Amino acid sequence: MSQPAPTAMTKQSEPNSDVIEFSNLRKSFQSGNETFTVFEDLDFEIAEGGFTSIMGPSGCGKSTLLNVISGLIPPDGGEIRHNGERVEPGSFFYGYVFQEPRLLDWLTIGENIRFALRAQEVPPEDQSGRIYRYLELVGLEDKIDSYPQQLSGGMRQRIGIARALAIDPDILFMDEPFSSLDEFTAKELRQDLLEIWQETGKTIIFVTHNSSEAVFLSDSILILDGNGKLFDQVSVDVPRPRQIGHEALIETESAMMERFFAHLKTTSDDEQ
Amino acid sequence: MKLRRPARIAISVGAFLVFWIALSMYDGRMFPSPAIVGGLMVEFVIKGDIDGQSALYHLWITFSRVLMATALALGLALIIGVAMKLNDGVAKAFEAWLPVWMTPPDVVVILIVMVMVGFNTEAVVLSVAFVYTPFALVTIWQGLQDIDTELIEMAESFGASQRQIWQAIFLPHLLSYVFASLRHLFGMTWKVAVIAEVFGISNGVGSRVRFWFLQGNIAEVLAYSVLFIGVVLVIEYLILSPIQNRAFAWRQA
Repeated sequence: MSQPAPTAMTKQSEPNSDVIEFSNLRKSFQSGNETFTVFEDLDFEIAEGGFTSIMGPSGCGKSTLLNVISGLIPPDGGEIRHNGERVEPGSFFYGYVFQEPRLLDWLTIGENIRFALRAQEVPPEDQSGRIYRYLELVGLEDKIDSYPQQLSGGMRQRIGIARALAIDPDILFMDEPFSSLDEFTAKELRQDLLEIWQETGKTIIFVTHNSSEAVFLSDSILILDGNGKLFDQVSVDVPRPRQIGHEALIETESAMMERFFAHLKTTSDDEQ
Repeated sequence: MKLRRPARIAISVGAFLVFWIALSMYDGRMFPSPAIVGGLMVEFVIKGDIDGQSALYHLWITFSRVLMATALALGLALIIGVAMKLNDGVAKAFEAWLPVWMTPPDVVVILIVMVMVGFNTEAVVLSVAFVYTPFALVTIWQGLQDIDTELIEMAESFGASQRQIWQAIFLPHLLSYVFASLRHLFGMTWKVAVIAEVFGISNGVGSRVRFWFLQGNIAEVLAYSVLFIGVVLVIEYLILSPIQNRAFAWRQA
């Protein structure tokens, strides 16, 4: 059961914009005789071309939800509709950016991206052009012949983003991609990510536990509570380009966090 | 005070020679001096041993046997290791039998193989390979288990085929273990190869060691030993080590 707060209903989705709808999504894991429910009855939609974040405390099932949306893990139940038509889980063409860059240390940067292109069976004659284009997009075209371990953590994460974009996916999944970077680098990368997003027009689904990051980046934020319930869907109507620390962003964030903590309090009261 | 590398090498080699000379002064019959051994080395290489063959010929024969045995052991270890990775039953079977395979004394293996195959090169290669395959296998198996599963996950998220995953992730990852195993093996296989030659082969360093040992001539035995050690060290430092540095350039961040 989701009870979006009133502000969340003022979604900017125009009737003609394409959406991906998820309804009654359910996932549980079996551990011995016990069944552990990660989430159930999840209903939400994602605007195509939009920037949607999934937020929640650690261990709330954010990454599992991402894996279910991507099709890496099959859901136990639920429905996915794309522009009203039912689609199978895993039928989206996506690129994945992980929390760690997950580069192959023995291959050069260029070859790391070629690895993804080959996996997607991009014709060999197109590969080099694409590698260069996407390295240029993340500003690292001069590192094409370097090895991952010669680059900084922030640069490696940029390569991870370039690799995911190079296969030209419909959706870019990002699983806490900046959480292991220092704050200065993370700030820079967030700014750059927005520029890349605007340039490419990709649908981005971004997992984070950082509320100011979510507010700064997203059009829409899905908030899971500790029990895997989608308890709030916030749309951030602050115009872009946004400034970090902009008043409207801070207001949105604090209102969002207030509701979240109020919700936490009621759920813990219920349990007592 | 920190010494530079050449200085350190010079000091330790010098100390070794002084120790050797001191021993030879104490008992020159048991411990022939470096000068005598060195002279014999030069003589064996240039004029040849009394069998009419240069020491280089015997070195090459032994070395080629070592090479074949090492390649065989490593190849077998790779095949078995990959089979273990692909099939759980194979993995369980070899994990259970590995300790047994590693146990028989080298000499027993050599004797049994020679009885079965005859006193020839094949017997040397097979027995050395039999002795060292399990050691290589342990390293390879370790490497296959140390693989970063997050990389496999990444590859699968991009839709990489099993073949591509082996090519781009498993094999390059394994390469460092193969190399470590190769250097380790090379340092050990020649010892067993020489023992096998001592037992009953008419050429190779081991056969000359046996001949001169039976004559009671220690200087000649030492001359062959030092020659062989020299060859092994040259291969280690001038060939294997530089190759490894080049192949793993990506590690030097």
